[in-house]
Amino acid sequence: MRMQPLILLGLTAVLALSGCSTLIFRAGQPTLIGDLHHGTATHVVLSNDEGQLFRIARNAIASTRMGGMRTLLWSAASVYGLVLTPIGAIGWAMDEIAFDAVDGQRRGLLDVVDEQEVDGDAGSRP
Amino acid sequence: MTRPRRTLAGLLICLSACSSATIYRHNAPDLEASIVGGEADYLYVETEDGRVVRIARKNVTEIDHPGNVEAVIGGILLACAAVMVGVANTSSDPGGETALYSAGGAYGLAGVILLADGLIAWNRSTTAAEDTATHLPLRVRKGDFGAPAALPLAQSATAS
Repeated sequence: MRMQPLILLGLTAVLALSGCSTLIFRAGQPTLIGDLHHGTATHVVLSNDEGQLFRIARNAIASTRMGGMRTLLWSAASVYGLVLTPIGAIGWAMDEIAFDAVDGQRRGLLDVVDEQEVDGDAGSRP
Repeated sequence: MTRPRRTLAGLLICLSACSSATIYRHNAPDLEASIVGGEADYLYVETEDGRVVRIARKNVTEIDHPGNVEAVIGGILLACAAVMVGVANTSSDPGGETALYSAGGAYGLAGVILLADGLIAWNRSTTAAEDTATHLPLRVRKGDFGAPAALPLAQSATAS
């Protein structure tokens, strides 16, 4: 019985730490997932699993779910997960800062590929 | 409800909400979407607002199907339940025995639900991804189709 808190804490930690990527929801387009980098006034920069950077037009973004949000949700599901709350909060705050930042050009993030140009495979069902 | 059982209930609720696959792509951003079918060269995925769009298989490097984590955690909970019941069978303390049976039952039930739900979700997604014979009535939107499949690689600089 004394092992129960450890088991549940372990499971919660695995789940919480698996939810650190940011989701970007777009109308009529598949949801993007990745790590946010500083953007510009008109675009945000998102990296894929291979570290390639892509810019996403801000006006195409319907909503977002920042990295760390899911970690916070997981941690809120259990008192054992409360130790993960700071991790989720920090992750969320960092992504919010990156999303709102418009100094990507100064940070050398100008020459990234426009997501619309490479995602030329989208067809849709009426 | 005791604290561990509340936690189990929370895990069940959180895990059962995960039904999307993560699609890793080369030269394109990764996607989080439900796979609904496919054909030889394309995968069909459903967007948040219910539309079905297709993405080229040639760009897909890996698919992380939903349900696998759920199934693994369900299996772990089932194993924990088995250990608890096994210990309860050899316990000489009637009070402890009852508590162990009770906890084992809760873990076992949660484990079975997670394992079954995870395997169903995983099987549905993998089957849809392997499907090469779905022919949805696609309407290609002007401007979206025929664009270059891959432009020069994005710079892989890491942002500080």
